[in-house]
Amino acid sequence: MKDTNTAQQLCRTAFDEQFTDKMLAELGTAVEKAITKLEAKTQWRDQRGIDDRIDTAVMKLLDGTRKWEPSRCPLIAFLYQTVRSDVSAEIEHLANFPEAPLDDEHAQLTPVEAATIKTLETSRETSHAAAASYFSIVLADLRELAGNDKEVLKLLALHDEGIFDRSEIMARAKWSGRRYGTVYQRMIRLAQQLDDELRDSALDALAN
Amino acid sequence: MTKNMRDARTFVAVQFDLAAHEAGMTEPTADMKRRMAALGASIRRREAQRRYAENALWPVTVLPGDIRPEIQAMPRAEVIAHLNQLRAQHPRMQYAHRDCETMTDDDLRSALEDALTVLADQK
Repeated sequence: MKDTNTAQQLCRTAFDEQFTDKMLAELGTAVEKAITKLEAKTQWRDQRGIDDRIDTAVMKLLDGTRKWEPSRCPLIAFLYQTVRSDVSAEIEHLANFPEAPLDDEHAQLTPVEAATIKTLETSRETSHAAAASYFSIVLADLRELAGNDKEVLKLLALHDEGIFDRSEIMARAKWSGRRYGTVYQRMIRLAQQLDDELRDSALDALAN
Repeated sequence: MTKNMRDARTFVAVQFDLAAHEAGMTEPTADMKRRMAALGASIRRREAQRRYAENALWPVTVLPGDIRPEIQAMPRAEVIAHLNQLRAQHPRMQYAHRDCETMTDDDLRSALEDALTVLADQK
C-alpha cells in the first residue's frame, strides 16, 4: 500500500494506459509517411528505420532524457515530436554543410587520390548548399501562398523560433485551442498545395 | 542557429505536420501493426525488467504484522466504514483489494492497520 502522488508514478500510469499496440501502429504509420515525404524531397536518407526511431523515442522518455508531461500532451504526440526532433537534427546537419577538413589525411594521398577526394567534397558541398537553398525556396513559396494570412505566417514564424509544441504556440500567439486548430488546418491546406504544384518549380529554380 | 538550420527545422516540421494529417486518414497496414506489436512487446519486456531492478534496489518496506488492540476490537462493519473513510480522504492511496466485502475479517483489520501506519509515517 503506498501513496502514488508522484510525478514519476503519474507519468508511468499514463504511459501504461496509453502505450498500446494501436497507438504504436498509428505512430508508425505517421512516422513512415513523414520519412517517405522527406526522402522524396531531400537528399536525406533514413539510415535507422522506423522501429529503431520509435524505440529510441520511447527509451528517451523512460530514461528521462526527454521529459513528458501527460497532462499537456498525449503520448503519441510526444513520441512523434521526439522522432521529428531527431530527424530534424539530421536534416539540419545536412543543410549546415561544413564537414570536418581532411587535410591531415590528404597529406598522405597521391595526387590522383587527392583530386578524387577534392571532387567528391566539392560535390558534397554543392549538394548541401542545394539542400539549404531548397528549404529556403519551399518555405518562401509557402509564405507566398499564405499571402495575407497573418496567422499562418505567425505559425511559421514561431516554428522558425523553434516553437513546435501546440500549447506553447497557443500561449505565444494568444490563440484558443479552436483558433489554433483552424490556423493549423489552413497551414496544412497550403502545404498540400505546395506539395502538388510548387515542389517542381522549387527544384527547377535550384537547377538553374 | 543559422538561417539554413532554421529553414531545415521548419521544413521538417511542416512535412511532419502533413504526414500526421495524412496518417490520420489512413488505416495502419497489417505489416505495420505486426511490426509495432513486436516492438511494443519488446519495450514492455525491457521496461518490466527495469522496474523490477528498480524495486530490488528500493525494496518496499514490510510493515510489522501486529494489529493494535482497538482495531482488533472493532466489528467488521466498523473496519469497512473506517477504510472507506480513509479511501475518500486519500484518493491516491492504493489498496491491494478494492472490494472489502470479499475480504476476511483478519485481512480487513490488517489493511486498516497498514493504512493508518503508512499515514502516520507520512506525517
